[in-house]
Amino acid sequence: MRTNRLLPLVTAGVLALAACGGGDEVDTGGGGGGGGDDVLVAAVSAEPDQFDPHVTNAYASFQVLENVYDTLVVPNAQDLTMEPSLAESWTTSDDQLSWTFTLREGVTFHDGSEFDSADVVYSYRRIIDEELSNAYRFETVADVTAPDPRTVVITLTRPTPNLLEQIGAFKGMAIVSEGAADEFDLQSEANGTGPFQLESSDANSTVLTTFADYWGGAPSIDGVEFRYISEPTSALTALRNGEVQWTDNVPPQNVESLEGDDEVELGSVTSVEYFYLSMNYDVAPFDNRDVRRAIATAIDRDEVTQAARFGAAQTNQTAIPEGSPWYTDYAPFEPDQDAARQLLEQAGVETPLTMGLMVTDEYPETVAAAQVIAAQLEPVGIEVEIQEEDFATWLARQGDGDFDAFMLSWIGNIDPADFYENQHLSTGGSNYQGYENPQVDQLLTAAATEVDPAVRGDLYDQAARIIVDDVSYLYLYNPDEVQAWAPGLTGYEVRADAAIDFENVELP
Amino acid sequence: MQQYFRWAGNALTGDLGVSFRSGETVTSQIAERLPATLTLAVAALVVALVIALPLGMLSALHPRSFVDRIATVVSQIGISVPDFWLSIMLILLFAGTLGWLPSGGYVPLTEDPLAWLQRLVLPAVATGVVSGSVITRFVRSSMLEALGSDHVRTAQAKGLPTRQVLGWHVLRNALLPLVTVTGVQLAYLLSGVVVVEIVFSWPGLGQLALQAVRDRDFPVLQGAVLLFALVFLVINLLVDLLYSRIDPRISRR
Repeated sequence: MRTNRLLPLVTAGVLALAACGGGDEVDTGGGGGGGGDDVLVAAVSAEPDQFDPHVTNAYASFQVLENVYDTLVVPNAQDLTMEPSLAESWTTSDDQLSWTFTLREGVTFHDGSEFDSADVVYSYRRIIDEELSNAYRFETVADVTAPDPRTVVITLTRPTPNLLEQIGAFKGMAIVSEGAADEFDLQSEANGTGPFQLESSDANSTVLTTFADYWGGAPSIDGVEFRYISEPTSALTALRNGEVQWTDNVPPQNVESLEGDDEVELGSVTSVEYFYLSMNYDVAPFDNRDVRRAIATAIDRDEVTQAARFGAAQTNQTAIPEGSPWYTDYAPFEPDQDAARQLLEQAGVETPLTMGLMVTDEYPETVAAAQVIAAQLEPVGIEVEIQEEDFATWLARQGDGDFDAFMLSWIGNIDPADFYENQHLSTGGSNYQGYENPQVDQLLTAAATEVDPAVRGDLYDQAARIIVDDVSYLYLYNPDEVQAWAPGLTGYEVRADAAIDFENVELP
Repeated sequence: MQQYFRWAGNALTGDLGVSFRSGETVTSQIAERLPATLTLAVAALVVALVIALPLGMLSALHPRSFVDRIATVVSQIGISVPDFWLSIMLILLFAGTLGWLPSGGYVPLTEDPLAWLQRLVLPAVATGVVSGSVITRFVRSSMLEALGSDHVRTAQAKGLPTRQVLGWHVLRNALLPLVTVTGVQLAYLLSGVVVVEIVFSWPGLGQLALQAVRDRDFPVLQGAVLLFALVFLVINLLVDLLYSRIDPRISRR
């Protein structure tokens, strides 16, 4: 996924509904306009920019849209593998170039119209033809057709084993009703098939009401109010005194004190986001593999994580977090300053060596991490010059290749292709470091069209090991996604993809 | 350059462009948030004056007394305390520990007056304390100056009752610098409540401006800055006009 901390408002969370398999819950009525008293008030840290799922890039918008729209398939809450949603089942042709989806029956949009294959074709064509933010996800799609109201066929230009992730990973690929862009002002209105419908939004909050005719069974709460509270102290105080029942505005430094707090229930899961340090292959001596390996050996990830996240993270020497089916169990670097010094000597570089490390106050944890890294590299003969830039300058310098090294994170990825292709293919669009390894190129290209999941996983595994060994990225950690809610609130689960799904919530 | 003139020309007709972020017009976004900021600024000014007038007058009437020293210390603290810190402390105390007031948010007066007032108190106090401290100083010094002037001594000498001397001769003369500083403070409050708005989730112009900075939403930022500048000018103009009402000598000159 091209989504990246680089563009903070870019599709942050790959948001999805926990697939509500059954759908035989009892409809308690309500919804359809006037909200009742049983409204969940959720404190979120930012205001949505707009509500057009195909256009917005803001995480704040997707937090809301997650509960309003559906996709054909959704990642499940446990390991983010794809499950049926608006599509009940699907088959692929023998040549892997045609996918046939059978759609769920009895699904209605919020305006009462019936959901069918024309809506899917309309939504996908809108993304492709108008070249909206997620059009790249249809890169290998030749055509989308609807042979009958219950069937959608997607034809491809080459086998695409991660097609389900492409169309279901988050609500940027939402299904809107046919003609929605003309019928509604999608920036401020919504017409989805999700459990809640968009009621209103202002500078204070966004209000959703329960959709009584939701195909998965209407939620038991009457609605959700997303209240924007950007100051964490205010959000946590509001949670404690009952003004809100849920918040994701929990800074890592507060986690420890909240754990012993019985007024607040804390949920935490290792997220798919990863922080890394990247060195410029065009700047000597960072073009030298031994120098990069020396730096990777000198860094103690536990200390970095402690400083940057107060321990609320999992250290990782690869990108994909443990627990994902795509996790590569590989950690070749042991913090060892003597070994690091030896590697530098072997590389024949003169110490002390100076390394500019570019960080941005937009993501304060990179600043904290850089300070620790500077302290760790100093004794092995590398003087780190921390360059703290505002984000616009930071991005410009990254784009121009004007850096020795930088730190940042990538978010919102599910499929391994999204973790590696853009960053480590020699032609990758985000390969700012200038990594070039024909073997990695070959492995990643083969994996992109490999339809056997086991073989595909093995190819990515091999590629990941080489990337780690070459230190194309110096991977540091996967931060925890931490959220807090009122004790007694049930039916909510913190997800590794940071999707916020209130469908099954019951208030205390 | 051309772009700027086009923007400035449009701005004259009230068209400030369209937000990059939301696609809404800048004018409508500002109009949506202006009432909240105005409410907070005026409320903060009320708090400031409620603190400043009695405190400043008392310490001017009894210079170097115990009351005066307390007032000096209090106003010094008020000026020094950062408003975001004060805001957080107020939230922790009144919303957290005591649970008397909500921790933030905004409800329009027309919707629910009580909820409106409950949410207004803390941010108004947090912003008002700083302004109040500044104004206290001015009230004290201008009162002292007026008290020491010749005509006041004359008034006292000819045996006017103290209340009349204070009300007519002292206060009227002390009012002039006070109006200036209050005007400046109001202008400051309107444009300077950014931090307090953030902490209290108060959906005003400050929050809008900060969000615009974060998103590099230039049209919105430009519009907000223009409005802040305009507010400053208008308030200064009003202050100048008020002068001639208070001190007829000025208009005659």
